[in-house]
Amino acid sequence: MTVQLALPVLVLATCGLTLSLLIVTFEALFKSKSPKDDLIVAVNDLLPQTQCAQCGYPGCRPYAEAVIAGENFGLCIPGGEKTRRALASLLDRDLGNQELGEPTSLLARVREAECIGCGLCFEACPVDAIVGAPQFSHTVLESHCTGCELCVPPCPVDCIDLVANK
Amino acid sequence: MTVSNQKFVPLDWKQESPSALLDRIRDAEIVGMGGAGFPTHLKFEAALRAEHRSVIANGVETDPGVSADKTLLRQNGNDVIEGIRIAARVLNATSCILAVSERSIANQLKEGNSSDIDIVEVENTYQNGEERVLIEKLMGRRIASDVYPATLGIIVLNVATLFAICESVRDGLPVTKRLATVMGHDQWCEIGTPVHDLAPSSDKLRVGSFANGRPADSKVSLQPTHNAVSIDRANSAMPCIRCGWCDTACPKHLPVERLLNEATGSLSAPTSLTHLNDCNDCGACVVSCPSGIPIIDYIRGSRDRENNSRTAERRASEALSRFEAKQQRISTRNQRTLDDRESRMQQDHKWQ
Repeated sequence: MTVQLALPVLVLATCGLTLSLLIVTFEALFKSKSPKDDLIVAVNDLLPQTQCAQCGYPGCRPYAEAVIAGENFGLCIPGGEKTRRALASLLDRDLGNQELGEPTSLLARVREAECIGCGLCFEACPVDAIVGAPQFSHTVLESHCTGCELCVPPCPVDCIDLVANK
Repeated sequence: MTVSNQKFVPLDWKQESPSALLDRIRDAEIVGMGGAGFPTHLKFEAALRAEHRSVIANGVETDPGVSADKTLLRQNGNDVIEGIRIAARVLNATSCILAVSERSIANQLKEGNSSDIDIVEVENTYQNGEERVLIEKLMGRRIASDVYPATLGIIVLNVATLFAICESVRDGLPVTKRLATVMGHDQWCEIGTPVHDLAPSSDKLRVGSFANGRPADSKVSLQPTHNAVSIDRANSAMPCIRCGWCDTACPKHLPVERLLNEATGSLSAPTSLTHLNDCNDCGACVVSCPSGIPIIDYIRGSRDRENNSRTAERRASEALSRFEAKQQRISTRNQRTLDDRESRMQQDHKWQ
């Protein structure tokens, strides 16, 4: 009787041990660095990546880090209400009564006849959407522009307009 | 006094060189009038790179309730045939086929025309007028979905396009009007007329057939690609009864019913963009639907929505990678400045 039981018990115990070892190894191999990093990445993925700094942080990722640290999640203007709601459900925070409007998609456009080629907008653009050599007219690559408005204040001759993106 | 709207010098196409004829087709800005609106001269240029060339005149108009091309062949059949000859001269084509869907038209055109053009009768079944389906019917050749038939030397031109080619070359006329089926009646319409002026009695209209046309608001005007103006049945649609006829009707075997119910929100499953992009907007599902649901509107809507959101996602990730690249560049530059300064500080200076 005991001999008959011993074999299946042994086999099952070995299987269990091997599988649990496998699980432990794989978890150790593919474990993410920290759950907080994962959360930052998840928040960053929800943000629109315009890098516009309208939230007060120098880019989307710094804002994501700040949100995890407890910052208000309703500061992203280009993301609008949709992003705010997505963030609230991801972070399981209270939506509150703040309402962000529907974001408008904008494009910067240089009035090239007036551009003096100073290159200050080029420095300001966070996503390298402005091209042009010094002392020559600069222009905005429409496919790259995120409409963040960061190039408008540095321009000394005010030749950059924001137009609606169709 | 009659005002002539002649815009170009009429050409004697039998004497002119093929390149002069092609230039005329380009200058007259002729586009595919079957619905796609592809610039005809680009099609010709693509075909000229192929070894052997053949012209297929597409008079197989199988859109439900549309008869403009048939009427054009009955009224101006000889002009269309002259258009085919012009196209054949431009391309130096080895074979010319005119495909029609009615025997009476075929018989009428065969009379008094020499045998340089094959006039073939094709079964009047929906989708037979589609470019690839037609090529398969006529030449027994199946063309992969990512290959453009013109690059293989097979040019499929709608008969309205050929008529426009003939008029622009022979008479020097620009494309200012086209034959369109307006509420079931074929009439010559000036291009650019607001469609609601063509059919003032109805306030809900579609440009194109009721199967695959697009809803037209008051701003839509008749384009060269619009072969019909029909009534919009969308308002009288009944709820989906899940009969599945659209699934059976779909020539591409797409899960139409599922796509429709996903679009209306009664099924919550992720819409597959592959399915949506495979749809070639034929509208066979609309024809089959017993509830009269404009299924194609929903499919187009979810396709646009999916494509837009994917574009937004792609742009966001590209913006992020450029942002990171710029941050990287700036920090490298700053570090290099610091290093340079440090190394200069370490140097022995002669004045010391």
